[in-house]
This record gives sequence, structure tokens and C-alpha cells, in this order.
Amino acid sequence: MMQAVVSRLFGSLVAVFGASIIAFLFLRVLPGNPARLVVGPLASEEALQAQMERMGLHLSLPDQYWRYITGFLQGDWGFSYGAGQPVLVQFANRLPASIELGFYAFLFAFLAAVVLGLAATYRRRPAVDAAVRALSVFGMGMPPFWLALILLVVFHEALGIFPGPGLQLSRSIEPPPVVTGFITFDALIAGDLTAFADAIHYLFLPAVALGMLPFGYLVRLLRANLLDVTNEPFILVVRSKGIGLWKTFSRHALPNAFIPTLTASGMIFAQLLGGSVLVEKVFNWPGIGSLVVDSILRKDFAVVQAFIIVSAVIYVFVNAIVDVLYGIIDPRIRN
Amino acid sequence: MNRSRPTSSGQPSAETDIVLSVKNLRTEFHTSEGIFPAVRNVDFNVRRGMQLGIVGESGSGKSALALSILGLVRPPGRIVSGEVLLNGRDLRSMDEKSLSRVRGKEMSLIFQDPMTALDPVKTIGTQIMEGILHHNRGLARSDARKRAAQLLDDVEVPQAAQRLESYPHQFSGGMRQRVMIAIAIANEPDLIVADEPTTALDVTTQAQVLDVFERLVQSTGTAVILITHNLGIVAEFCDEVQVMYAGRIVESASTKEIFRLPGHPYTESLLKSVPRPEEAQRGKLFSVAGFPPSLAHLPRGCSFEPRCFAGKGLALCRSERPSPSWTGPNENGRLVECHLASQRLEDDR
Amino acid sequence: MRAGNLRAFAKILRANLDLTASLLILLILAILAVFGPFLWPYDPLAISLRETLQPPSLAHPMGTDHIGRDIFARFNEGALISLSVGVAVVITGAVVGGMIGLVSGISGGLLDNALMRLMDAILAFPPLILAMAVTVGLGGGLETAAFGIMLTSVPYYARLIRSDVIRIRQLPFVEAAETAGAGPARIILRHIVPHTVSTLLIQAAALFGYSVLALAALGFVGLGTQVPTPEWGVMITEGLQYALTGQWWIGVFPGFGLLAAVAATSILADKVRDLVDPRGQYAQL
Repeated sequence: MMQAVVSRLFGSLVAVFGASIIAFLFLRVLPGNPARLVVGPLASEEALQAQMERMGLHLSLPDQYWRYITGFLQGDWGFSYGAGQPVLVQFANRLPASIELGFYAFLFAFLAAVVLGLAATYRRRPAVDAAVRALSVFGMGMPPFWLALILLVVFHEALGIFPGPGLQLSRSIEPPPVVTGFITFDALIAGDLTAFADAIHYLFLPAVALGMLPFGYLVRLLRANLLDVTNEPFILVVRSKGIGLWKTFSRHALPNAFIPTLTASGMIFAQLLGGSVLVEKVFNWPGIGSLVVDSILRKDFAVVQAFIIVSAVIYVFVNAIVDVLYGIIDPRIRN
Repeated sequence: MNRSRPTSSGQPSAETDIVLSVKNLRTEFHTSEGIFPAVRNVDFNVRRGMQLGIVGESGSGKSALALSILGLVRPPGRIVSGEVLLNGRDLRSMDEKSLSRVRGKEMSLIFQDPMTALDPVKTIGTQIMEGILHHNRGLARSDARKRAAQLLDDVEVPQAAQRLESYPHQFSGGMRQRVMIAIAIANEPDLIVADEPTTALDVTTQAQVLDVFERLVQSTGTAVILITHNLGIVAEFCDEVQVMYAGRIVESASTKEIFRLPGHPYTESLLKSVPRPEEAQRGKLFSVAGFPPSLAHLPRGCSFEPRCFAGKGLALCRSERPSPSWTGPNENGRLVECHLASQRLEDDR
Repeated sequence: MRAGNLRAFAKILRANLDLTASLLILLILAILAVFGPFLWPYDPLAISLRETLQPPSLAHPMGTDHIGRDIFARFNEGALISLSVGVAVVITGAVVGGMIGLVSGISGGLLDNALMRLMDAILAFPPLILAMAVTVGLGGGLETAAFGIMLTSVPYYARLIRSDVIRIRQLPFVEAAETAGAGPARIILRHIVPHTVSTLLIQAAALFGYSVLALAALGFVGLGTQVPTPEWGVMITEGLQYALTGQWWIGVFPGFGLLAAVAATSILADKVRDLVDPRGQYAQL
């Protein structure tokens, strides 16, 4: 057990290390001189040299990497010349909004997948099953940014039920005091239910737009796994004890069906990170995703580098959580 | 135990002696490839404490019959007609809630494959206690636990109390099958339906598990329907045998009778296909020719006719479905569904 | 195709209506992509300032955009770009990934280890972000976008083919061929490669949707195809600013094209896998 944890931890470190190298090399192999981008096309050769020295570009590649990674670990994530701010400050300002959106998107995807996965398999009605399968295919086939657009057209523009892009909270509402940085949680901590409801109102459409793709995967996996599990003899044995259909599903079928679904969660999370970049742009969400798009277009690579490393760390972290959950749910893994 | 056993005071009535009565039961599977009647209008009774064997090839409808009795046939299958009377009450007219009070309490199930018949992510203890707690509302968990440990001890699992914490994958096949038996007898039911309970086990383990099972059902007076294709187990365990072919019970008789003199040609073929040392030496191993018919396209006449050594090609067998007939004196009488039954049984006498 | 095969194919189509529907959708999209320019009178790039922002009508079934270009003509051109780039990306990705998987699975040892760690490192990134980064790093544009997407799809082929190769090598008939003295080249070409083809094809079909979506995503953020080329993702971006002022059709129709193409190939991949190999494991991005 201990050995497995250590080797897993080591594997995670190697993956993050590899990601940091790729992120670093990515900047260095690009055509064009990063220092030139900073000083501008009209600057003199001396100014360029001076800037290169300031950025450590005169060093050998391994030295540059060492400088970059040690700096990164100490909180020096580079400087965003596009925004005129240290990258770390930008991330600190914008990451909470992204994580909050990602959380609700995953929540939506998960709850919808469980409800519809159950609906598709519970009474074995072919029509319901076909409808759920179609929804899953649509969920996976819809470009998130396009869905965001459709949701805005229908629910904001045509029906007026949900607010449009640009804000996280109505202007008329006093933002709750910042504790966690997540508006909904801060509102709950402050006991401000009006602000909470308003924040959810603003979160709803972007969360659905972002959660639709993960929903498509999850419901597809969960449905297939539930079908497999409910065809197992042990479900009949549970039923033969007199246990009702609902308890059979909640106590036995779902936990068993979750096991293979968990494995896919890492990939699903990667999807979420990628999707957030697109959805945030449509909703003008003040998160990290829209920052990254803008930075990519501005060739502001320090931001992109940091984002790549951060997302690799998040990815590895999520997979580690998945592994722990695995051990909790599945006794066959535990020993 | 305050179970609603019919009182046997007054005259010994045959009705109160019957645990399960299956009448005209028909179960069909409706798939895109057609309608498969897995159980075709079957009638039989199970008396209290009786050990009944149901024998047949795979695909004969044995398992569908077992699930039909418990009311656990799932789509695309469904029971289309008939009655299943357990202790006099028709299970088919009960709602799901009443059924959940009967299942696991008055009747229970032992399933074929011990590898897949237990939930892999729940402890053995949890799975035994689940049925106990379900049927004894208000019972303390600690008491249910004691009962579970007792049951595990009854099925001769060593160190029962500790093993409650184990998971199925930590048990051998034989041990898992014992756990299955513990689950089935937990509430001392009147009837256990055991679908191929020992098929997946090796011969030695098979015998041990069957011994434990027999001892327990005899001590509690539980009736058993043992579904199997293994005639050796039937000879050892069952009082009476029913032979199933293509969804019908084609012969039913006492075990002794059927082994002495099989009435239906299919029964005879089955008995002949059991290897016997003296025949094996002569290199003669009989097997039933051909395959069971597709249930979606049954022959017009007797469904066994195409494979029958006695009636193949006979005009009567090809054109008309035989109906069940009693033969022999009433005491050790038997039911055979064959046009040639009386003739065959006469000949032998 | 022989008459017998044709009849068997027709039977499969009748029994799997979703398969038939997806094949039909792809066929329609392909026809629009290839023959659209000949059948439809409007030029996808022709500006008509008298007909700006027209809602869908008989003359313009999908309406016109802010400079009066016919969206149906642009939709057809977009279908050509999406489908052809999707096919190109999938083919090159399958070839490169398949080769890596083959080399990895056959060689084993250090080379195998190094290749697989490289694949793992690529997999640790969100694929779309990596594709974006590579694209912008190489200067943007349709070709580089396609290259970036192809690169991120390579590990999915490589890992699958590698495990396939390892599995096949242990099969009795390959061992028999080895014992019979067949040389390694012969074994690889005659026995291993043919058996990985179906895996590769199904995985390719499953990744086609990802490729098309990723290309649109890159176009959407301004990295892939450049204005005024009517790539579907670019068209959605153009439609975005008009969506909230009531001209929904500009961005909505190209999205339907994407949805149809991706959903149809995903059903196709699923169905073919069910028919060919019901137990196989394929990653779908």
C-alpha cells in the first residue's frame, strides 16, 4: 500500500516535471525572440541585448530551465508584458472565478449524468434509453462555445430568463466579503442568500455550456456501466432478498457502476479545462480561460507557460484524488 | 418465528401442504429477433419440505422459470399469463411493496455463479445482514450481526465472526457459495430456488457444499427447487424430478421412478448421456443428437420430435403437440408429455 | 463490392437505423462540401452590401452575414474545410501514432519506455490547450492548426496500438509463426500489422469528431483559419457579436454543421466497434 502511494506520487512528480520541460521548451523553440516582443520592434540592438540578459536568454538551455523552474517554485511565474502585471498576480485574481465555474459545470454534468443514467436503465424502457443516448451524443458533439452562444440567444436574448455575459453578480447587489474568493461560497459564509441566488443565476448558463461535454461522456459511461452491472447476477440476488429496486440501485448498482467511471474522470477534467477557455470567452467570464486566449493571441507566453504547468498540476492532482477514491470504493484495489 | 404457516390442525388437507403452486405459467422474451416463450404454460406444485429437481439442457427455460417464480423476470422478458401461488397467495397480483416482503422472507434464491452472485464492493457481513435487517424492522445492527455470524458458522465457514469483514474476492468459490446459502436461509424461508448452485465448483467442493445445504434445509423444513443439468446431483439430492424441454415440463416423477424407468424419450436420452464406467470402456458415449429448437420457431408437433430416437418422423409426433398424461398407479404416478408414453411404459413392464 | 456483401450491408443498415442516419448525414455533408459550389449560385466570399444581415429565406436558406455574404454558400465551404482537414488530421495522426505504437510494442525495453513516457507527458496537458499553444508557436493558420491537433491525438493511437501489438504477439498463431522460423519483418507485416488495422480505424473514427471540434475551437479563438475563410469555428465567432442583437442565424447554422458531423461520426465509430469488437476499449476525446 505504502509502496503504491510512493510510486504513484513519484509518477505524478515526473509527469509535472515533464510538463514543465515541455512548457519551457515551447517558449524557447518558438521562432522570434521573446526579448524583442518586450522591447518592441523599434528598440536598439543594445536595448535588446540588455533585455535578453535581464530575461536570462544568454544562458544555456539547461541553465535557463533551472532559472525558470526555481523561480516558478518561489512564486516568480514571470511577467505578463501584455497586461503589465506579474503572471502570479493575474492568476490569483482570475483563478477563483474559473475554479468556481468549473466546479458548478462538473456538478451539473455529474448530477445530470447520474439522473439520466438511472433513468435510462432503471425501468429498462427502450424509449427513455434511446433519448438519453441521443442526449449523450449531442452533448459530446456540441462545440462548447457554440452551445454557449445558443444558450445566450435562447435564454437571455429571446426568453430573458438568464442574464447576459460580462458579470458574475448584478451591479445592484453588494458583493459578499471575500473569504475564499468564490462568490457563491463567500455569499453562503456571509449568510447572504440573495447574493448566492444571484451568483448562481449568473453561473447557470456558463456552467451548463461548459458542463455539457463532460455530461455527454459521463452519462454515456455511466449508462453503459449501469447496464453491465444490472445484468450481473448479484443484482438478482439482492432483489431476491426482498430489497426494492431503488435501494438495489443506490446501494449496489451505482457504487459498482461508478468504479469504471472514475477512471475517466481525469480525462473529463482535462476536457473541462480546455472547454473553459472557450466558454469563458463567450460569457466574458473574468477567469483564467479568457486570459489564456487573450495571451495566446498577444503571444504573451509567460501566461501560457504558467497555465500549462498549472493545468498539468491540476490534472495530476485530480488523478491522485481519483486514485484515493478508487481505493475507498473498490476493495479489490485496496490490498 | 411467527411465520404464517398454514396450520395443519384438522384433517391433513393436501392444499395446506403445498408451499408453491405454479399454474399455467407463461414467460416470454420479446426481442427484435422475435418472441421467445422461455416458459410455456407450466403447471406444478411443491410440497412443504420437498426437494424438487428441475433438469434440462441450457436454453430449456429452467432459469427463466426460476426467475418467474420469484417475480424477477426483467425486460425484455415478462410473465404473460398464469399464477404463482406461494403459501396460497398469488404473487402475480401483488404490488412491488408486498413482493419485497415475501422475497427473502418466504422464498429466496441461490444463484448459479458464485463469482458474480455477490456484490464485489460490499463486505460479506453487509450482504448477509442486508436481508436480515430488511425483514426484521427494528432489529439492532449488533443483533443482525450476531445472526449473520451464526449463519456463516452454520454453513461451515471457519472463523465466521471475523470473516464478516471480508470481501467476496477474498473468498474461494466454494466459500462464496456457502455465503450464498447463508443469505438464502437467513430468514428461514419456506422455499429456496437454487439455480445450478454448484455448477461452477469442482467435484469435491460441490459435494461438501451440497451436504451443508441439505443438512440446513432439512433441519428447517425448507422446500427446495434445485435447477440443474447434473443428473448425479439430482439422484443424490432430490425426492422428485421434473424434466424441462423447450419451455415445457415433459416429464415429472419421483427420482427413483425416473431413474428406474424414464418415461419420456428425452429423459431417457439424458440418462444415457451420463457417462457410466462400463459403457465408457466400450467406447459408447451417448449424447442427445442435434440441438434444442429455437423457441421463436418451435416445430408444429412435438418440440422434441426432430431429435427423438423413438418418434422421429412419425406422423402423429410431427403434426400434433402431445398433452401431459398421467401414467401408472396414482401412488407413484408420473406425468409424461409424449404421444408414445403409454406404449413405452407398457412395453417396459 | 459483390452482390452478397451488398446485401449483408443493406441488412446491417436496416437493423441499425442510427447507423444509417449517421451515414446519411455524412453523405449529405460530403455532397454539400464537394458539389455545393457547383450547385449553389452564391460565392462564399462575395460581399453584397445591399443584402446584409438578411434572415433565412428562400433566396438565402441560412440568411446572410454582416457584409451580405450568403451563409449557405459559406456553410458548404466550411463543410469542405472541416471534413477534409478532419480526414487529413485523422489519417496523419493514425499513421504517426500507429508507427510509434508499433515500434514501441515490438521493440520493448528502453525505447518503448521512452516513447511511452513522451506520450504520457503529452497526455498530461488538456489537448485543446496544447493544440492552441503549438499552433500559435508555429505561427497560426490552417496547416499549423491541423498539425497541432494531429500532434495531440498521436498518443491516443500510440497507446492503443502498442497494447494491441503486445496482445497479438502473445497469440498462438504468432508464436507458431515464430517457431516455424518466420523472420521478424515477415511476422510484423503479415501477422501483426493486419490485426491492428481495425483498431486503428475505429480509433480514427472516434477521434475524427475531436479533430473537427478542435479545428473549430482554434478558428473560434482566432488561431486556425483566418478571416474571411468560411471555416465553421470562424463563422461562429463572427456570429457571436450578432447573436445578442437578434441575428442568431450567423453563428447558429455552422454549429449545427459541426454537431451533425461530430455526432454522426461518433455514432458511426460506436456502431462499427459494436459490430467488429464489442469488448474493445477506445478512447474518445
